Amino acid sequence: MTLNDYVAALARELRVGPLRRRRILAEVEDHLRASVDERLASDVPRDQAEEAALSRFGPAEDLAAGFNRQWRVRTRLAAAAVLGGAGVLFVTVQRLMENWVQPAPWPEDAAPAAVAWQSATAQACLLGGVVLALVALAGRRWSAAAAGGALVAVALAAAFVSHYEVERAALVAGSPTNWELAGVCALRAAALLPAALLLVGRLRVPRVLLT
Amino acid sequence: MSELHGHLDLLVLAVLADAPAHGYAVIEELRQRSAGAFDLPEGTVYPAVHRLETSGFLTSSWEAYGGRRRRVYRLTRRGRGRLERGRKDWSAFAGAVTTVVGEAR
Repeated sequence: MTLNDYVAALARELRVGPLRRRRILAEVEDHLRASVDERLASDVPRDQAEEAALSRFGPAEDLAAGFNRQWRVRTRLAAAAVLGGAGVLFVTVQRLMENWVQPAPWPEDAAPAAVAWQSATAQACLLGGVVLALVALAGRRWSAAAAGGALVAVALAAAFVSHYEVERAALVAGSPTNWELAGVCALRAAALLPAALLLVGRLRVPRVLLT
Repeated sequence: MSELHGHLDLLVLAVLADAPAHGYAVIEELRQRSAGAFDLPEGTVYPAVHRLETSGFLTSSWEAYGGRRRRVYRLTRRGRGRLERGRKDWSAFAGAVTTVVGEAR
């Protein structure tokens, strides 16, 4: 196996996000090249230098498994965080409807035509997000993509719902003020932030979960 | 090397306490400081440094290093605190074991 074969094998085995994958491959390839160069400088033939460098690294499958385990933890935490965000979205919608918004959601004939499809799309996104988050919690191979998809879907649902509320507030007297609505939107965004930070590797994961 | 299981993180933190280093240098330093006793498969160290970084004990950045672009790791304040706690725990543990087992003659 050549150095390039090893890096290609590692790339096949890695089940991590795209940024992390690029970094791992660059780091490992750099290390291997430095290791090979050191042996070449001692007049070792290239094929033997590569073989020796690769044998010190261990099988690509084992190396990938070490990274994949960590990424799985991160992905599952992100999926759980998305479910939490979906819960916050659901509860804030319920609270708005029950306590703030007057009984009839829109005045007679005043509802914009887009409301129906926006509402349906928000519900579909929320449901899709929850399903994808559950897939990420349960799955292995596609869990990173599922967690990312779940986050996007729930964020879209939050955006549609927030847009709905703002439009409605502009038309109906007694609706929540813009500041109140902004507060609810901020709460929803804050609820999804941990999932986003986990997926881009910007949130710490306790060591005890990774070992 | 199974004796190392559970201590690798502490060893890596100890190596990086003196100066920032890239993965290759961490492995070399471990080998040198242990007089060859810790001659780790190089693939075991990278998941460990990534784990330590994910937990907030290390931070890293790409830097030019001897004509190459390398990921250099450095200890965070949290990592330094973890290292100090690890040193104390290790000293207490090693002292207790030595007390029971006795010194080599």
